[in-house]
Amino acid sequence: MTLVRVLAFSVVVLLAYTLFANILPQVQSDPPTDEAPVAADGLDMPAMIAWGERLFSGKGTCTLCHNDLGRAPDLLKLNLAETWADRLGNANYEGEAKGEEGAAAIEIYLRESMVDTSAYVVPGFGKKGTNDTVSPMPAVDAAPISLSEVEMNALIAFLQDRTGVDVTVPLPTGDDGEDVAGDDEDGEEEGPAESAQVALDKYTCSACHDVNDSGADAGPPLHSLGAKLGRDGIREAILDPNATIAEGFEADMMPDDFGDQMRVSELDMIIDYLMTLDAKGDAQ
Amino acid sequence: MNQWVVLAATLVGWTAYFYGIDFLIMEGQGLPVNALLMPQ
Amino acid sequence: MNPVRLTFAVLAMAFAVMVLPDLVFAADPAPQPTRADYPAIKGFSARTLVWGLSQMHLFLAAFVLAVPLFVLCIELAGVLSGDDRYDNMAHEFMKISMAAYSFTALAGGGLAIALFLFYPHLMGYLLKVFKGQTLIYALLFGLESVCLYVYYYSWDALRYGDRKWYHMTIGLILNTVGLALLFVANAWAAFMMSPAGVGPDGAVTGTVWEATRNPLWNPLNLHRFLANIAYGGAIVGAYAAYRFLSEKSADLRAHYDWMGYTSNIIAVVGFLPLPFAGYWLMAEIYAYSQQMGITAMGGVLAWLFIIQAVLIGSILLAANYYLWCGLGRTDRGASYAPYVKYIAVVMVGGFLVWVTPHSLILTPQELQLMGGSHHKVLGPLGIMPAKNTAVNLMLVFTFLSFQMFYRSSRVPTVSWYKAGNAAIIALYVVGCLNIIAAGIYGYITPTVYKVGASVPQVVTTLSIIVFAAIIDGFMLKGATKTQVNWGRMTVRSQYALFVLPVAFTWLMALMGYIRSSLRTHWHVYTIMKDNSPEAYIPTIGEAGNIITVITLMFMALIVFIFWLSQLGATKQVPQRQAAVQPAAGAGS
Repeated sequence: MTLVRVLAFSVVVLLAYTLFANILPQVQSDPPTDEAPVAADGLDMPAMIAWGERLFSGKGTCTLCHNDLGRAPDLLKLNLAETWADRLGNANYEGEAKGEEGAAAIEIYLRESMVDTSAYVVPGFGKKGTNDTVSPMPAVDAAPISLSEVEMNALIAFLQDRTGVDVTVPLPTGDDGEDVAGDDEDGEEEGPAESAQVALDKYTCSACHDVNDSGADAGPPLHSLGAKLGRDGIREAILDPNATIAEGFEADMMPDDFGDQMRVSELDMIIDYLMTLDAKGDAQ
Repeated sequence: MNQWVVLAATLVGWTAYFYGIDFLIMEGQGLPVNALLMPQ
Repeated sequence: MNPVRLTFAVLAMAFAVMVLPDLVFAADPAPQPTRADYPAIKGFSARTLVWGLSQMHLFLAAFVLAVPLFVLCIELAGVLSGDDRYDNMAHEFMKISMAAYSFTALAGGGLAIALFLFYPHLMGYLLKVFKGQTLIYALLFGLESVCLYVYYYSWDALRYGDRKWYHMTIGLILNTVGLALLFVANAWAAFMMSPAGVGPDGAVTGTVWEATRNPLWNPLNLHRFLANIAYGGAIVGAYAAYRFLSEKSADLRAHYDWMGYTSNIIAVVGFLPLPFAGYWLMAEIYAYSQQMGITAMGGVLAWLFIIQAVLIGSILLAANYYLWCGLGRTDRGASYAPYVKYIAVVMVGGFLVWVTPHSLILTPQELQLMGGSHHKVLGPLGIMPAKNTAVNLMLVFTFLSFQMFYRSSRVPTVSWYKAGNAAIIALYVVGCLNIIAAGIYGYITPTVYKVGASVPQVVTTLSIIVFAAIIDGFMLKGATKTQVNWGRMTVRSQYALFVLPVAFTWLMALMGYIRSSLRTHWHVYTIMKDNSPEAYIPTIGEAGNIITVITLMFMALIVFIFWLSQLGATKQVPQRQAAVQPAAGAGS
């Protein structure tokens, strides 16, 4: 009898802890998925800047420290134009951007901050006991963050844009495509689809949508999308299908991982094509 | 010894001891000891 | 050549080949398996299996390593005091843990099989890094078995005089081997978190010793060493509490009450320095990688530390409650009873502060009402200075509870005892004020200094404990020992002893979940990515459920182990002839 009481008591205590664990905010942390690889002619500057913004809170994990808790300069709240001017004008600054001016100087400074983090440590943010000579920031081009050169350019573009200066980083070229696509999990490297039709086939859109005269009706017909959704709406509908569900259709039917699979150029081609479809689904 | 004398003496003594180790620890970490002088 | 020398030379060369760098294995980078490369059984969660087996192995191994540690100390106490009760209790503790040993090996074997089956690339890589150390680990197990069995079975044979010292030497060797096992296994776990002795691509560039002595090795060693002791004490305490509740004879109840008291002391003594070891571990994690540190305390895993606060709070409250009930064993103890409520206020208050999160779980309407995600008054209680202040004060007052109990059976006879009391009171008062002052310092200084402000708090707590113990040691020399009525305890108090192992077990599993999650999506941090289908960090609820299931399985196993040790002591009485014969006169 004692045994039963003791066991029951222990189980109750255990259940209390389990319950507590279950009522707290539940966060699942997934491994980072690589961004859609970049191919030639795939990206324009606004898209590059947007990519940089996603990297800032995503793969770059910048917001882990660059926030309002004081561990690192809060890049999203600071007046960046003043900030960079202060840094570059500081007599203690001996880094690569010394002597440079304007947007180019900012680019050099930002790249240096990411790769050679202890080259210049903002006063007050150095590792304890090092008198602000050693930065606690990890190099972002090394593990575990491992940003590629193109990704770092995107981040710099984002920050330059926030500062209000010209964006001076180059857009990615065909050579860079290999750089990023090398992270592909399957190790396969397929070239991007050459045309919208090929892309639509590749991603089997016509299996559910009425496009290319497939007559499929599992998903909404892709007619007059230019007028109904616009470019941004179409992009969202492909990358985040559950954001808006068309009337008469159900959620969780369309794959939500096209963002991982599609190349930016393929996505753009598809969007371009869909923009041209009229009310009957014919290309204009 | 009178217990109240001892109490007073040890209050002072322990205060000196604790301030001393606080000082040593904070200096050892490269941190300022006197918070009133801290920049806000 | 002399065959013995030849054998030795061959073994030495094999050993050298095993431990020296790259004589046998090429300097390959770490493997990077893709998702498809991971062996999988459909519908079966490999990660959960490995998790369950490793956690069971850790629970059992912690128990089996810890018991001989404090058994040896109690045995020594028995020799020094000449009191047979200590030796008998030590013997009984050993008996309880013997059955656990083979289950530990079983869980360990199962774990090894599961790891090699489901994560062959990782295991292959770790073997490349640690080479012959794995063989040494296996040899140590053999040595541990030998020492353990000899230590236990020779107890009565090596009981008195010089032989007793031989026996304790065997115990010392046993503990050394046990610690070596712990440290070797810790090296592998710590390597996965903070690799050393390898290049950025994983190629082995250093010696096995360099890989062993990675940044998180020693903090993990200290933390696990202390935690094992506390854990072992908690489990044998549950055994004692259970026997106390189920025995009828006053003598046995007194015996088990004393055993429970001793176990609680061991658990508390092991527990008090743990926060410091934990602090050191976190500090080293931050020093190694700020990202890893922030993931733990400010990122995805932050809420886990609130759960940890609840668990540790319940452990401290239970341990204290048991001590307060223990005051009832002596008549003098009753005079301390009025002070208990102040200690209780501090304990409960500290617990509440510790549990208060910085960011609250709010609905949008509540957010609007409050004007933000942090409560103006309670919010500040959620950050580190408040929590460190709370936990340090709780530890100080736990020690005070213990000190009160210790004194309750000892009437001082020295002439300066009033002065000594004054010194101790001053120590507590100034110490607590210092802890609070350091906490306030943490508030009014920039974030980067907050963590630094917690070190003085920790040192203060340690100082109070050490100096109060020293002063009491002198003051109570030659004190008159009053009667301690062992066995005069409430049933409620024994349930406090059950809370300890349940909370400790769940806490250990929770901390294991945190430690593994710190690696995020890496097998070996920054070197070998985890591309398995289960590379995500599960939610706390999911983890909590798995942890509860493992804990329940462990509890069932422990009940079985306790039952076995009791079974071993049971003797069936042979049936007498008279009972078998039919009643006289029947059938005649």
